[in-house]
Amino acid sequence: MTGRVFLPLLRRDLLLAYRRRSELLLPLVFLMVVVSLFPLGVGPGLQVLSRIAVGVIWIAALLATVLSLDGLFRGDFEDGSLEQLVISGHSLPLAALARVAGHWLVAGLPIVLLSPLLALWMNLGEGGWSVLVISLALGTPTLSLLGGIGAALTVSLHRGGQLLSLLVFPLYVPILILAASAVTAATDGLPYNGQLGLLAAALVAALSLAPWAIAAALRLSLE
Amino acid sequence: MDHTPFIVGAYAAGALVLTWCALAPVLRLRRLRRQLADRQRRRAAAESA
Amino acid sequence: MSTVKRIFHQFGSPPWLFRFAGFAIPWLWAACLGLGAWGLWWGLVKAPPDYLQGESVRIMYLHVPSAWMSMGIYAGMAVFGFCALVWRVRAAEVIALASAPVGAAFTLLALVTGSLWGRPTWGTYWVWDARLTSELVLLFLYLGVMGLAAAFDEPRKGARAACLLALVGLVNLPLIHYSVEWWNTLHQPASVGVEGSSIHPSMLWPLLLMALATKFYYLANLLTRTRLQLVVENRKSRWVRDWVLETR
Repeated sequence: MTGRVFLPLLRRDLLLAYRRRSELLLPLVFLMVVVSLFPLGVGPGLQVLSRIAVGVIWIAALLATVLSLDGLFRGDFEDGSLEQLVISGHSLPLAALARVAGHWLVAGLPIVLLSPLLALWMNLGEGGWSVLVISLALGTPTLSLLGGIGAALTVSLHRGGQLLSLLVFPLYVPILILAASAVTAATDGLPYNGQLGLLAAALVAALSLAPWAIAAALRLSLE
Repeated sequence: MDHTPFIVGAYAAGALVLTWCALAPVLRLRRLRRQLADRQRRRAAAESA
Repeated sequence: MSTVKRIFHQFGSPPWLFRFAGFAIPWLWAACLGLGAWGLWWGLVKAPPDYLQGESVRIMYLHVPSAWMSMGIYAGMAVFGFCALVWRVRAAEVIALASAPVGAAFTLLALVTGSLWGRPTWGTYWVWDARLTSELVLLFLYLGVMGLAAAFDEPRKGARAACLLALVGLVNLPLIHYSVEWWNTLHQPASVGVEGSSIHPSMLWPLLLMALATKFYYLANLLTRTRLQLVVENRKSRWVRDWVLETR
């Protein structure tokens, strides 16, 4: 029975996202706008930009993820399909994982794909490009999983957006530190495998623990 | 450099924060008790009238 | 498990807990103030100034216990949150939620005293030092728990959500702590290890006394907040109505 919930849910989410293609672009446009504001704010000096590039791109990715997470479970909560899912007897952690996977494919993967352009804008050293992409590929799923816990906790609140960012940003601190230091090490020509390995470890840990926390939070919200 | 203002400042901040944190629930409980007592007295008066 | 459950059910009975707290609070305050006065006298008058930090080391007698409490209370809050979620004990929920503001106050105090210590020692109020940074993140975690609990219309639902968030935060806390520490060594390879030097015995006693005093402060404050929460939740029940009419 458990195998029958993940793929149908994922397919449904992707189909729904495909039907609202224009909304898909919003997080990406947001990301580009935020990153493009930095040269305007700190000046166009290439040296300054390349020093803050990693931080700016990663923080913009954090913001874009949290912004798109706010509605992760809300639609399902309001139209009652979440309740149906809980009483259907399917595995709720698996369903939550499907939801988060759909979110990452729709909102996280585009960030990964867009990041080379952002690296170009911010004059990131060329040695760091591939590591930036890898760090985002390993890190953004973790962001989606951790953020899913916050989204599930705030699902029944009407204005959960700002609260959600307060809840999840502290949890994102280790990911941000690891990813930024991996990219910085790569641009400085230092070894970065350790940081990427830790990012992968964080992803595995989040994959195995977060679905249960999300399921518990959803049950709480439906009580 | 004279360190005294910093030490005094730190302990003053400590006294302020800890006193406020300790007094806030006491004051709230006292206010709540007064409110509940008023309500009960009013209800008792309404019943006897 | 049955022993745990039995203990919790006795503590979980609101009137019993309310009476017990009312009896214990004055004693806890007495212990806190007594130990605190002793520790302050020792730390501010008797203990010698540090040979490296000078007189500003006296801030440590407040800063270090506050930092210890800020972390310990978070752990305690998460443990009670766990009990609340697993065994569905109402009293554990109340205690977990009452811990949050006290923990946040200690975290704030650790930050304020830390930066007041930093001005004479480092020459600046704020340094993105590993300890200060992880205390700041801890403050955000506390604010998140309190904000989440307050955002719900139904207090019990908010309490349970906050308990779950506290648990998630507890799992993350070591990761945050170690990553911040590692980040700090990365960016400041030559930081002065003043704080890392071992504690001189003359500093140890006032530090221990102050740490004990803050523990009694926490217990007294926690029970006071628990009493408040019990009355709020049970305002219609018999024992609250009797208590309201008691002569003060």
